[in-house]
Amino acid sequence: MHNILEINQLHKRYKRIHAVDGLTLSVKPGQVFGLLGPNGSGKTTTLGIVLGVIRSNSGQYTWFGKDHSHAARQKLGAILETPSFYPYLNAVNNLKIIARIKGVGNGRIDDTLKQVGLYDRRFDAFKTYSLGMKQRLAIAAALLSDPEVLILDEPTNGLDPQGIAEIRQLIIEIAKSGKTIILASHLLDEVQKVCSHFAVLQNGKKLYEGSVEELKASDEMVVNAENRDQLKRAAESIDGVISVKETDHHILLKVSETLNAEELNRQLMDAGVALNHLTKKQNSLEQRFLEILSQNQSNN
Amino acid sequence: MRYLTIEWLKLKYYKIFWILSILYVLGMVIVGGSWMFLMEFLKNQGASFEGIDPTVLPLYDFPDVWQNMSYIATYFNVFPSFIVVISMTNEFSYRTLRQNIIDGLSREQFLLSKLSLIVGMTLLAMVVVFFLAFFTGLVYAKDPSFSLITQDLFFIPTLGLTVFLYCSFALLVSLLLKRSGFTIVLLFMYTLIFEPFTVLNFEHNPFLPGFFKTIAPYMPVEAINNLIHVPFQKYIFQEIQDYLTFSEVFAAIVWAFVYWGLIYWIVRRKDL
Repeated sequence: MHNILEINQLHKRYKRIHAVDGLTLSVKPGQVFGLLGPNGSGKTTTLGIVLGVIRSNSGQYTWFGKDHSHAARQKLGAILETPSFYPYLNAVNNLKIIARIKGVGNGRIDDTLKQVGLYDRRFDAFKTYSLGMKQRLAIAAALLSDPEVLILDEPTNGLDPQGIAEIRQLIIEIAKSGKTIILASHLLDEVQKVCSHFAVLQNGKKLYEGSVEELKASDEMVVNAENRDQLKRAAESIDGVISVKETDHHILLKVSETLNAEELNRQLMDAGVALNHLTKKQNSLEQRFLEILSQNQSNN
Repeated sequence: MRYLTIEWLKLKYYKIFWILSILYVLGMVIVGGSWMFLMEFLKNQGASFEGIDPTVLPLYDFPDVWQNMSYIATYFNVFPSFIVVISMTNEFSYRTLRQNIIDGLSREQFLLSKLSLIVGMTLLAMVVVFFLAFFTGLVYAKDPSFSLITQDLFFIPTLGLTVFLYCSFALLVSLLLKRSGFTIVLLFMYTLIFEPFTVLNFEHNPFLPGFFKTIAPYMPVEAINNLIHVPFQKYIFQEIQDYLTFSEVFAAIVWAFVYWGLIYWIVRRKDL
């Protein structure tokens, strides 16, 4: 099966900045792919290029393994930055234009409006909507052609906490239905909650690419005991301990998700080791993210 | 047809579009259709043109009525050009040009939708002026015979060409300036003040070489105006031009290609 999106050595230079700097990425079918990076890291520029609105200086991209024309874009559902609609038209009439552009009928308009909870307001002009409603209409527009792939750029930007929760829930539901989603965000928490895979961008460069699961799987336990050698030997023989590493003050154990602190402690006691220190360190995406950023800064 | 439908969906519920369209049609019909009333009014006020009763002026006689009505209609070309400017600059301010491309139109297809709007305006102008001239002619003309009616009908497509050219010019300026107010002010300043005075200089300024006098009739707005010459001096027994010359039509068509070439070039290379 072809990759959904393949980006190869993409460059975009503006007068002063190198917004996208040799970016190479691939998104596979069914992934919820997070494009993570601080503001101004090149996320939106990258999406703008693959969506045909920004001209790259060099490099290629393909959708569905072959195409980078407008015909490929017809098969996507995409939101880039702020929701853009004709303000004097109501939701239904705005969606009719998009249905025309996508080459699909008007049959799904009511369904998508129900799905995002705008059905009751469907005959009100777009300009009367709140920001959250505008954002939801944008998602309805993206879903209109029942596309295989959704591209969402900062979909919760500017929303209140309830709106954020609603949109995230919607994205999770859409992902469950088997669609591929590409989500750009500067919110780590959002990517961690929603995505299966992610890449970290900074200054237009890709710093890291991997799955969210890999990170979650590698929780760390920080332990210590009087007799460190005995502790290390005992720990290595326990099921679920992935690696053992000694630092100046502690022993770091990489453990799988199934091994909790209580179980670890009991098994070590059984092996005759009494711990004088045990803390669990959840390796969140945030730490990983900061780690990646700081590694990159020290390399420069 | 798909592109015209897309434009239609965008404009169908847009109030300003309807106001401008209605003003356009009404303006042409009222001004074009009321000359006889005006002449009667002048007559009752005791006015006369060198002893001639103004109501006997054959303004609506075939075939002259085609040129007279087409000429009057060119003064209303600002309305369709206004519609084009607003329709294009809105796409920038609402960021819907960008969204249309993201949703799956190619840049060429987007231009085709704007082209279809301009062609639509052109056809509207031709239909309205055709019926206006035809019916006023039937009412007032002394000799509405078939051979006279069908004579000089080419003024209708020529009027269409002026609408098409001016709207294309307006679309080009809109693409360059992006903001509606700025575009409208600049477009009309250029049309009403800047170019007429430049042409005046080209034609009469003794310090400019003769070359400028040669190119004066081919300036953008002048080239449009020259397609349909002022017909009214004929009523005070002066020569008028009631035909098209090859160079005039050629200049108009060259401008059409220049405008659309530039429009295409700008839209192709733009970051949206």
